[in-house]
Amino acid sequence: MIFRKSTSIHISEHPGHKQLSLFTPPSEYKKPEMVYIPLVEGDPCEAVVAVGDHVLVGQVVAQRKGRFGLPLHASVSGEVTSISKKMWHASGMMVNMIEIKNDFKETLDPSIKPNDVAKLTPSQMIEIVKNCGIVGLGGSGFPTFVKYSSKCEIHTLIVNAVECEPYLTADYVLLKQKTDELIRGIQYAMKMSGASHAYICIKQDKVQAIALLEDHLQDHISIFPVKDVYPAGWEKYLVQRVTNQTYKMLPSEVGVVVNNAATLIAMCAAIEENQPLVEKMVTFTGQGLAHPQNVLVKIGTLANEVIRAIGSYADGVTDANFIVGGPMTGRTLLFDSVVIHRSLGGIVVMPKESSAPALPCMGCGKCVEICPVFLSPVLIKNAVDKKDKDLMIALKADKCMMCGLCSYICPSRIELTDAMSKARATVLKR
Amino acid sequence: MNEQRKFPLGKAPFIRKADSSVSTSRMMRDLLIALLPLVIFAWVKNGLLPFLHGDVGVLGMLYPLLFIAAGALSSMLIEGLYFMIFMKETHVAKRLQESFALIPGLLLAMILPLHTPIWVLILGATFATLVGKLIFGGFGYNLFNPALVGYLFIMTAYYGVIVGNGGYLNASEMTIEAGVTPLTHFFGNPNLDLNAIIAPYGNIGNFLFGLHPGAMAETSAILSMIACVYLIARKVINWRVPVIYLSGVFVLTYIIGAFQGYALDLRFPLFQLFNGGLVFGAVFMATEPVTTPRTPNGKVVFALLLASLTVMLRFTSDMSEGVATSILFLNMLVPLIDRSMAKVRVEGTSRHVIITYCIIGVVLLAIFGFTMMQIGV
Repeated sequence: MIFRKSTSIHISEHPGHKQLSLFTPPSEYKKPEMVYIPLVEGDPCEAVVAVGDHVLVGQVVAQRKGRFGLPLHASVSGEVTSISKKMWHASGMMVNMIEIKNDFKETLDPSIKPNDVAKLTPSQMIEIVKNCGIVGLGGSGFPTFVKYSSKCEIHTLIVNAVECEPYLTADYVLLKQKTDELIRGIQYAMKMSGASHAYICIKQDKVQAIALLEDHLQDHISIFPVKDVYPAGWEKYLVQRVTNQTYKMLPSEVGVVVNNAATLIAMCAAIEENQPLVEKMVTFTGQGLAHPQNVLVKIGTLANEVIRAIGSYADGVTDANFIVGGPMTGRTLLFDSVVIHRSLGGIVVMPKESSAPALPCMGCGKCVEICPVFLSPVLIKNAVDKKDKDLMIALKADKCMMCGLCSYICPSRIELTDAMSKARATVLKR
Repeated sequence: MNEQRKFPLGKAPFIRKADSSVSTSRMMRDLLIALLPLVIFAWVKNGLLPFLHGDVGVLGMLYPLLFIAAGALSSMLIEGLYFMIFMKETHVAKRLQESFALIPGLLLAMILPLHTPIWVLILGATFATLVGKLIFGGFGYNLFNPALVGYLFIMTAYYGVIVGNGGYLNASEMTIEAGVTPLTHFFGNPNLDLNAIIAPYGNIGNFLFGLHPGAMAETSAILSMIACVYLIARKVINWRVPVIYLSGVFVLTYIIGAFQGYALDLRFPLFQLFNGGLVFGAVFMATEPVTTPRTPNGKVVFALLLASLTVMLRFTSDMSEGVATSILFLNMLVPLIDRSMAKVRVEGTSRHVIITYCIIGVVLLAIFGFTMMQIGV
């Protein structure tokens, strides 16, 4: 292996995009009439409750199957009214969801009670993290317990508080609100993984958050400032910067565990209180909203309800995109009645960019230069156009991590990222 | 119970650089801005100064500008007619703008000798646009640099006509006793020493500023270099090709010069660097995005091959000007270079990488070795 550091770029477009959701202090929306627990999360999930059952907050309602199996919990107490395809999932499809009618009593499941943290062994902690359904909240939704069950020896914990996706500020707001919990979560994570040192990676321009973190720092935890570039929050980028090493599949190959800051905060609650993942900080932002802000919501809430509660859409914005996720990697949906599942970080409603059609590629090679995984998007796109599967394989289209930089940089507005995802799917299907 | 709002769909990412700063049309505008000083210089050198010296009349003064305009307009006209007749296009003006129709003819006029008859220029611009660009499918699909296709066509078919019409020297340069461009002078008189070669044209500084006989707008190395810096700063071209190409030629010609007894005289490589279309070609032709590699390491390989080929053609063939031929030849290899370099770039295993670069190294050594053998050092 030849070690090369991935490229990155400062996104200078849309100045002030992060500030947009910081004008209004974060709010809460915890009383939805209905919540929907999607029965898909990477793998299919199986419902363990039936229509008509009464469920409590934090009660297991479904189980994700397969190697990454872990439970899904009810986020409100009430009655299961249906299990059907009713509402939109962030994937752009309708999937089966458990519909729970809120009785507004917030009755907690008896399993939610404080743990005697000092007596917990690392393996018990991992079990708790699994049973509380903690997944990566940075967007991947990767089950957290898997990272700590690795057989490799771990020496470093990287806390990802970079949030490089433009517009989104949920992690930043959460980190400022719950700095203590974050530090405790880091300490538990270090205990679970056996890491001797933890680095909190955060963008160097977030001076307030860095100052706050410095006040709370404990032994063996330090701050690792990163540049304001995209994709600085990408796992591989952080591992390269912190350890000067790179890996093929998982960071554990080089003795590193990477966890999102919000995940660690959720993990802290899970280990101390047995609190399952039922609430989540989500950024609702974009020029298309009247009052962009961060909202603490119950998992399974409908996004359009939250948007109506925080002041609806901005006037005069007629031609806007409704983006689930962030503006670089997110997906547009046709309808705003999308269910907030547990790894969804933000909803961005922003006016459509110019819809000028793509020009022919002039071959400047900017997409090749920018690609953080050293792919050649323009050549792969040509292979996709010619349906040349062998070439796609030879050019390793499956390495693409869908960061969106090739389409971002293209001066001719060619949909390279779209072609890359097709090529990636073709190669992976092989 | 739950009213939902409908939204248009789109494709990620939703922030595009093309919308705010670096778009194709802005890049082309920057290219034209970078070419403007060179056009003005061509006019000053070949029209205004001879006019002030009383060597030409008013028409002769305006001639360089008319010449360049004729080149640009004729290639635009050809492409416009093509869109109208063959493509049945309704928005011809828009299509012409999108396909940057004036570039081939404009660049072609800038690299031709002053005394090229206008009809030859128009013929060349037509050939450049039709054969260099349109038969491949138009902008973005051509394999060869259109302007250079037109240039090579003119130089092979009409070189005699151009020489008969007056060749390279403008009215004020007729007094230069050598009577030819410096490169022709250099290769035509292998026994003269460097001082004698440079003497008719003043000193080496004149070559840098471009006050020596040569093609229409490519004589000024310094203006081309300034344009290069501007284009790199505006992210229109990548630094790799011009920088590596020019320094490659400098190093190789220094080695050749050292063998011929000019080891301490940097004027030998500088003479080679500033003369002919080298700097202009490196900045405007070898960076033309459509016909050059997309991959960064491919660009490096392309530039190294260009440097060694240019030096080889200059020192071993009858054509004193190797830039156009070497660029056109390597245009042909771009798909091959790109594909193998893209694989090397994404490949993690070092064996494949080492083998590929070894092959390229051997090719480079072979080309240069052949050159040295031919010179006989």
